[in-house]
Formats: sequence, structure tokens, C-alpha cells
Amino acid sequence: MSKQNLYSDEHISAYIDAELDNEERARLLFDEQQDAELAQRINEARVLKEKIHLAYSDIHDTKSSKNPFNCTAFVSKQKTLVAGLAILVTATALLLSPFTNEAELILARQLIKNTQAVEPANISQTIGVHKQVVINISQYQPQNFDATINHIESLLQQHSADTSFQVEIVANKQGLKALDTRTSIHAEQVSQLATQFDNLEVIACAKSLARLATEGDSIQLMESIMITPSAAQQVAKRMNAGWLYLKI
Amino acid sequence: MNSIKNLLILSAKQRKLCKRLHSNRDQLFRMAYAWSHRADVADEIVQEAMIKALNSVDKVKNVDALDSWMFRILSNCFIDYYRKQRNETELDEVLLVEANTPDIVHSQNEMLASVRSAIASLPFNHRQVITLVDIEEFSYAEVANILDIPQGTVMSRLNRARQSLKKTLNESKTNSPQKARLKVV
Repeated sequence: MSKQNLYSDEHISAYIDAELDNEERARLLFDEQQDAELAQRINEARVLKEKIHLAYSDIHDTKSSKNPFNCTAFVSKQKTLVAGLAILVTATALLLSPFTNEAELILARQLIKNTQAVEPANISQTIGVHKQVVINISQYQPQNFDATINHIESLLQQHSADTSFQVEIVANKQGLKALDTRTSIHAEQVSQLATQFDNLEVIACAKSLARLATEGDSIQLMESIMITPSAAQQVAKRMNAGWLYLKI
Repeated sequence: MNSIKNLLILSAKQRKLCKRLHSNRDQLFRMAYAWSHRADVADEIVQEAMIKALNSVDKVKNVDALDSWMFRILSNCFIDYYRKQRNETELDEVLLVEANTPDIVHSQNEMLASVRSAIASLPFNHRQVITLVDIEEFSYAEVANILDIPQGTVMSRLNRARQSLKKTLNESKTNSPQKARLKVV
């Protein structure tokens, strides 16, 4: 006598989905071998499940890069750089691969956007015992920047014998104006610091350089300033490596 | 004064989630695509889900359950997206003609194309269950957790979805290819 009617469709579904306990599974397996009609029902259910699995197997997200983009490959020292080159760097970087890790980038963008700025007078206190700090400058107010850069210089001097102490200044948006050799009273001082201290890197955001250039505001950088495809990428990379993030 | 707002170091949980989201983006995208059958919509919903996940990672108590938690966020984002699109129309009442799926119409593999088309014709809550079980191979308990429904409901929706697909696929063998229609819950 056929046993196929003993089993509901839900029961067969649970069987092919490995949701039955061992006892039920063993019973159905035994009956499947004894009953051709039941075996046929189970086989049809399995084939359907396999078809559904395969139906979307060729769907891939184009943003899931298997070849992570390495920011450092695009951080390069440039001679006096004009924004036209920045556009090229940005375009190349974006064409090759958008970012190392989209989740990190989303997080970094949110931090850059939502984090409160630290007063220059509180920089030392905020950094405390941290040894690796990424400082984001997204606006340029000469008086404020003056205090900021002096505090950073003082910190670098205090830690001059400590090779593990590292500071990275990442300038984007209006903060790039602090590095503009034509208009900023601080551009030369920043450049000298970057040359003097091996543990200081000053990095400009290529995306922001390009945006400013399209608005007719081309920034000229000193040769010691490095370029990164995007400030958010650079911040994401550093934060993922455990660096402290500060916004000025 | 140092506050969390101006002293920022990524927590271990955030770093773990970043890595997990990065490695799971393909799966999230595939699922969002299976629900919407539109690459642009799937991409937008995955982005939104990632932002929400990163913002609420501190609420996660069991880091091992991150996968089902991310799919739960994805499901919520998907429903929110279509609610906004439909301007608060009852989602169950909305029936879309799936016009932007040339991959279905022109697929070289007719059998798989007909399966996609049949899945597109399922009600959204059935489509969600069957894709989570058959594509991502979540257990019934995990699907119940992701969709916040009882496990019995998972089983009954899954069974109805499979019966419906079986019927549609049998019919499509004898009929000419139907134009895919996508129901949005």
C-alpha cells in the first residue's frame, strides 16, 4: 500500500529543508525507499528547491569588489599640484574600484558628518595617551587653524623620540584652503612640519580638490602634501586600524 | 571634556560588523534583488540596510546572530522603501508589472528565467520566505526571527509558495512565456 498520503506537503518540505528530527527523518527516508510515488513527490520538491537556488545564483552585486582598493597606492607625494591632476586621480581611483570596504566607508562618512569638532585648546587632552591620531580638517578659519597647528607641532615635539606616535592630518572640503599656497598663511608652516617630522603626514582629499576646482577654486599644494582619493576612505582605513579620530 | 562625540575609536563590534557587511553584501544584494527584481532598488535598499545596521550595532547582544539580524534589517528596509514609494497604499494591494527585467525575458537559460518569473508572481510575503529558505538556506527558526513571524507561519507560507510555483511552472510548460508580474506586499 502506498505511504505517500501519510505525508503532507509541509512534511516533505521540512524533510528536504533538513528541518525534521532524526527519528522522523529516518522514517521518511525508509518510506521513500519503499514507495516510488512518495520518492517521486520528494524528488520533485528537491528539484524545485534546487531550481530556486540556481535561479539567482548569477546575481552578483557589482559593488562587492573581490579586489580591494588600496588607498595607499594612491597616496603619493606630488610636486606643486593643481586640481586638474586631482580630478584625474579621483577618476582613476573611482574607475578602478570604489573603496576598500563600503561598510567602513559609510561609517566614516557618518562620523565625519556628525562628529563634533574639538576646540584647539583641548587637542592634547583629547588625544591623551593615544599614539595614532587621524585629524580631519574640513574648514579653514585662520585663527582657529593657527592654534590647531601650534598644538600639533607641540605634540610632535613632545613625542619626537617616540616612533610609535603618528599623526595624520586629512584635509577636505573648505579645510583644503588651509593648504593653498596662494592664499593660506599656514600652507608653508604645514609643509615644513610635514617635512620636519617623519611621524606627520598631511593628506588632501582629491574629491574635494576636484569639487573646488569645478567651482573655480583651484587649490595649489606644497610638494610635501599627499593626495588620497577620498577623505572618508582615508579616515575609514585609519579607524579600522584602531586610530583615534578627531575633527577640528 | 572628552565625550563619545569627539573621541572616536571604532568598537570591536563595529569593526566586526564592517567586515561582515563587506563579505555579506553580495548575499544581501541577491536577496534584495530576488524580492524586487530590480538592481537599482536592491542596491539602494542594501545601502540603507548597511547604514541602519552600523547605527544600531551596539544593540546586538549576540554577535554570532549578526547574519539573521542583517537580513531582518534588510527586510524592514525593503518594506519601508515600498511603503514610501506607494505613498502609504496598502502594500498587499499593489501589483506592479515587472517591466525592467530584460534578464528574465532574454535569459539564455529559459528554465531558470521561468523560475524567476514564477517567483516574481508570488505575493511578497511568500516570496520572502521561499527565497530566504531556498536561496540563502536559512532555517525555519532563523526565517521566523528575520521576519518576526511564528515558525508555523513560515512553514505554511513556504508550503503555499512552493505549491504555487509548482503550478505556475507546470502551466508555463504548456503555455507561451508569460509576462512577469511582480507583486509588492
